[in-house]
Amino acid sequence: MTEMTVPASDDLDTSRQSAELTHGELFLRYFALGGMSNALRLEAICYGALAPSAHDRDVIAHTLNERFTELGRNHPVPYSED
Amino acid sequence: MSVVPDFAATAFTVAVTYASGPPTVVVSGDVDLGTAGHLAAIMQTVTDPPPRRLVLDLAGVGFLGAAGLDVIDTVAARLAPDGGRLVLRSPSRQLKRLLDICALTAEVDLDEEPAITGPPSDSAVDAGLVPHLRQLAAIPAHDDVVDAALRLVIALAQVAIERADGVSVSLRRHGRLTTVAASDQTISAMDADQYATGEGPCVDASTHGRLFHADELDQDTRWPQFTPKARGLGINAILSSPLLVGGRPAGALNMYSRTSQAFAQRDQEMAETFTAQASRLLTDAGAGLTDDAVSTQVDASLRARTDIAQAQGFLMNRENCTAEEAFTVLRRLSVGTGRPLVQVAAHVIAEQPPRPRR
Repeated sequence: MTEMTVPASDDLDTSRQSAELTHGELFLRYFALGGMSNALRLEAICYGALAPSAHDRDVIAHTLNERFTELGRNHPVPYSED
Repeated sequence: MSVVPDFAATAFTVAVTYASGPPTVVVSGDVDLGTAGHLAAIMQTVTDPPPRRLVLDLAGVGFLGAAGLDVIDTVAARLAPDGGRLVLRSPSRQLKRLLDICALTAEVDLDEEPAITGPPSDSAVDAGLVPHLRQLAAIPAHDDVVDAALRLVIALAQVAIERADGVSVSLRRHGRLTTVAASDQTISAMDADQYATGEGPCVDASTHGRLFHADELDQDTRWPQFTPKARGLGINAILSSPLLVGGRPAGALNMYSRTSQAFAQRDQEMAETFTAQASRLLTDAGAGLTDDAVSTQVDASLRARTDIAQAQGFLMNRENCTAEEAFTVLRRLSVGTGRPLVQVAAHVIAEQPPRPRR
């Protein structure tokens, strides 16, 4: 997996908490959507310690956005083309 | 005790001196998951080529955990083939016990002359251990990492609770209680006995989610099958504190002592601190579900993932695009229609034309 120069940020972990998901729950959902990083890597990405590829970030974004939809909220997490 | 106070991190510094005598690496601050890598890199440089003697001065180190022990082990092993020795200067009492527990004492030399400069000694064992517990809480969860972290819980519990002669962690996995970490074979054998008879403080704590304390085993009548076996091994006191995962009893942290009445109120509170951290670790690991729920969830995730992959394959074929581009198509459809991506994928698969007959 190539790491592209997508700026790492800690927005993802804030979104995760706002979506009321533990790291384990996030991983299971991300995995269901075809995410290729393992749980440890996903957590590192959420914390901004690893910069994900644009695609990986989109999978994570969609994982969170689907959860927000479940909670009756909008799609706050941006995709790479946004 | 449910809240762990926030400790400001001590600055981590490493200084190497090549004055007269063996090369000396002076460390101050905490050697934890975040900083051990730096120390390892510096040790790599200092041991290339490997010196006959290398001093690691730990007088200024507040906390040294599993990651730091790993560095020590690696360096000692690197020096050994040429007859070299790693000398640990001014190791803390806790570190010496950890070295003992991890069977590293023979691999290093200890130099315990009082340091000229160093931090004031901890006034209480508690203060020294809280940073450890914070570290445990931050460990990302993964089966083997969880097991390693539980082993560290055991090492710490033994350090903190002086009269524990043995410690173990039992966990309910796949419907059965198993010992996932133990300080020695005797203890894991004793746990196994409990599981086999279905009787004992560890079994009770794991089942009922309550603390079970036997402070004079020879007077205890609760476990008629288990007690004689434990007494036969010289055990006179047992403290089993429950591990709760997602609020439900899932295992226990067990402490054994050859001394009756070994565990006082303070020790019980200490045990609860450890089990609170271990419970949090396990809950975060996604083990907060019952076994059945875990299998169901994992099954569902795998099926969804397979369906999505199949839809991606279909799109890649039809649109002559990459897997990532196919995912983007599915994702946009999901956002546009407000339907979960796995549902969109199911539709895409259903639309697949039947294979032409030959």
